[in-house]
Amino acid sequence: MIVEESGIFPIVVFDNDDGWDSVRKLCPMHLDSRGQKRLEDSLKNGVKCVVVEKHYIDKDYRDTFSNFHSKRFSTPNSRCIRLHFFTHDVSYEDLKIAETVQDYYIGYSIIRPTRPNCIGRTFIDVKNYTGQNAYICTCSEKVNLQGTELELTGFPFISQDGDATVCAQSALWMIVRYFSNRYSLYKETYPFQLTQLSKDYSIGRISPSNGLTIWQLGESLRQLSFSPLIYNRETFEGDFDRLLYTYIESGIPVIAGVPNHVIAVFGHASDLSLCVQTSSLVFSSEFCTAWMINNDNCSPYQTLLKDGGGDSDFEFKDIDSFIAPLAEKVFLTAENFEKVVLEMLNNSQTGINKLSPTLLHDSLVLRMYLTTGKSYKKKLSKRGMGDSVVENIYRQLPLPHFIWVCELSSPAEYANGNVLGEIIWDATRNVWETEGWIAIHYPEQLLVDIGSALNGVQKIHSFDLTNDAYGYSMYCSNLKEI
Amino acid sequence: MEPTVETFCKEYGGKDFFASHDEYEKFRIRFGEAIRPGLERNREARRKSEEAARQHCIA
Repeated sequence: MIVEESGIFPIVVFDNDDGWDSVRKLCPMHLDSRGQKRLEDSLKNGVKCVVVEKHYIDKDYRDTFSNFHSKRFSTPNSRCIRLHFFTHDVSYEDLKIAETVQDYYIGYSIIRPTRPNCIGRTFIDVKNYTGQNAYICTCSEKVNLQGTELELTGFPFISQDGDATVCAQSALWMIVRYFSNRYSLYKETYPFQLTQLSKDYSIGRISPSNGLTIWQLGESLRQLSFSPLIYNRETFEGDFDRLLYTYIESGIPVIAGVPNHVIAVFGHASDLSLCVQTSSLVFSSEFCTAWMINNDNCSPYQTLLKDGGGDSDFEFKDIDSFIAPLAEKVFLTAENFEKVVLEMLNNSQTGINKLSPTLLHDSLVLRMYLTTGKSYKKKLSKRGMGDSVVENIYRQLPLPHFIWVCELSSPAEYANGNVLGEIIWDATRNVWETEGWIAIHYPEQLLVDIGSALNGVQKIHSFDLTNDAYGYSMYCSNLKEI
Repeated sequence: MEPTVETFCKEYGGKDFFASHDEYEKFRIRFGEAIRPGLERNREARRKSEEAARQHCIA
């Protein structure tokens, strides 16, 4: 059934007579059959109703239209169509009250009058993808539909128009829109603005775009106030996938290079049944079986499986490089944190051998991530930290803005989402400074650098704990489970 | 009155982890020596990654 078919806001209620084909017929100059298929693939889990918002002025398309498409002899329409997706049929009366339709609202897609790709800015709520046992970076958006404000949580998607923007700008857009949606520190940047960021690092013209190098993408991020780090599989060898996992686990989506293409990686899925097969020391990245990705040529929220065969045509080894867009003050990199923390665990004075019989008698699972001191403190009470002394000291302790954390667990505790201790390191330190450790927490003992916390010289104090080796919940704040 | 290490530790019953300043300095130097080779390798890998990034063209 189509309500007000010739109006500005027709509503397509899916039934035996009407469905996706009817939606396409309402948008003849915008939505093509390829775009329709991509929407169907993205939303196969149950769209029951689509509100078609005609004459929508999209900030991202208007940016490329004004700066590029309008200069063509054959000029596309300057306006877009925005499709709103619902899991239940809605009426115009329902749309007047946010509470009535919020639960059914699963997102929107801007349909551009561009070819070969008409799918513009798209934001699908995570609730459309629940049950995948994956963890992803998310941000929120408020959507104004006929004056009613609705809210979505997810990861942004856009496809290239093949003219002003190609995959490089699309992947860059997805990453930077996530950051600007989530943190007020980063300003919203539009597609054509992104193409201009490489103008001082290019040979020849920059639009129509012929693509960018990984280095140019890194430079673009730098100009947007990030401190990007570039990783190459060949040079980082066996550490590459683990480092990629560590950044994702830190809530930092990355731009990943695959042969002749680039994608946004923003989440992972793990198989915790692998926990029982661990050796004496294993990183949690070993259990990772899939990346959650946005490939601008496909549908949002694709799964890239370790050995291929998922939604994506790629597998882990196809990712040959990635760029981690770090915040300015994260001076310590993941690979260096890993080196110092492993040495700390093996050290004859601070290591497990000397200080923790509990951790010594089992395999050790290490989970590493970056977070802010503020976020870490927010979760202390809920987590309990295994001992009230630890919780109370951490609450009082002045922490840097960014901290690296290495959680220590046994396979059985990790499979249940629990940890037995952690090492906290100041992420704003130079790696060559050996005084970067803030705390080492084993079940039996807590070591804390109180001197540095008070902006003085390092002064390590130890606190005996009465912990009887029961785990407490792992830190979960960087990613959202779907 | 400014908070000090001593007042902080008194509240929670902490004690010095290292027996003396000399012991702490020895630990710090040995730790620095132990991490150096790994950090040097990382620095080289980073340099090569950045070099490779100039060549890696994507569509």
